[in-house]
Amino acid sequence: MLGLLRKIDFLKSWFGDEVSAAARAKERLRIVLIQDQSSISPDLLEVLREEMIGVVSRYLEIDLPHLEMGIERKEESIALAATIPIVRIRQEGRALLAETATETNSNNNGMGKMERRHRRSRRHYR
Amino acid sequence: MGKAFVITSGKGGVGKTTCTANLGAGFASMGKKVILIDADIGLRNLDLVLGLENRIVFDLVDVVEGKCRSFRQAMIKDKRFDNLYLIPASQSRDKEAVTPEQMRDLCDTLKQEFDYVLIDCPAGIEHGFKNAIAGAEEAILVTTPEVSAVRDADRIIGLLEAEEKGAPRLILNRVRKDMVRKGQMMSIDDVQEILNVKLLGIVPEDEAIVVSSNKGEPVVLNETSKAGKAYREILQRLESPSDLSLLPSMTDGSEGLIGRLFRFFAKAEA
Repeated sequence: MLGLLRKIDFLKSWFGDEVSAAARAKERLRIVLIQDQSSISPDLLEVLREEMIGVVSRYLEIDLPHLEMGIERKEESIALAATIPIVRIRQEGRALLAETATETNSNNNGMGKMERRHRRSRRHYR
Repeated sequence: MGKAFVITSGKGGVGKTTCTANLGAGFASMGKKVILIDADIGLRNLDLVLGLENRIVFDLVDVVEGKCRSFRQAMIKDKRFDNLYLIPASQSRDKEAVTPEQMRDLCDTLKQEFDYVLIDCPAGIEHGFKNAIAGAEEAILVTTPEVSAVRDADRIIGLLEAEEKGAPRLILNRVRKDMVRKGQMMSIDDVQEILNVKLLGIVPEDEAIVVSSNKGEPVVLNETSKAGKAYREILQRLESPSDLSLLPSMTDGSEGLIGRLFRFFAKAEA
């Protein structure tokens, strides 16, 4: 009887819990390798940041010390996420906006200064 | 014209140096003229594994800096084979003392004279790695079935591709059949599926490796050890890559339910 119980334990070790260690290793590796292979170097991120600040600054005065930019990883996707706090809209920007979006842009004018300051633009690039 | 292989892994401690020593001694026992280069400057060890640590006068840095007349003055002849030589790493310098161009030139020179040039690569992916792979036309990637080693191996595959070295061939080292069978350790199939490179061989975990390193005698020369047998199979495959009968074989637990049940009941009978 004891022998049989031992055999059952032995069987469990084949079919039960312990099967997962190798499977877990494989699954964890699969995911981590997707992340490793899509990693973006700090140098590239710095160049992106500088150029993005350049473009955005043409239209908006931004709160540079509070600008956040980084790579966000979810289960199987990866995103470039930027949080760019706005101080105010520049005059040139307003002029440009007026030219291009007279119809759709009523939003901006109706917004109070404080509201605008705390509004954050968040973009995801796949 | 000989062939230059670099033995690399990314992660340290997976068996690069042992592997280099065994492939070298193995080729030599087959009558090939072989030279080993220890490219792990600052952490010299290949000399110790081969039992040649007391014979070093000049080293790799002396060769590339022209401190000795030619590489011939730095190379150490093996105790067992007249056709096996080692250029040891410098122990007092660092990896920056050598450049990839110098390594390429040295390997080109050595290939004129030797059938095989085997380069023992340091762990890591920095300057030492770039030096070690510079002169080799093919890489042999050593890994163990552990998550950290496999992850680093994947990184190395990417870097070798970036350096246009092509896909390496894989040696899966320190495999424990019993653990694979119980699902506790990744199988050969698991690792191969993740890394997606050609398998050169499987070396089982074997106490004989520790013993042979302690004695400074490569395990490949040990007729009875499991690891020695595995290395001899790898050598055959490197010698005749087209021979299909030489494909890596080792039961890795993928024998299926029937096989498992069969063996289980066979055990119960006994």
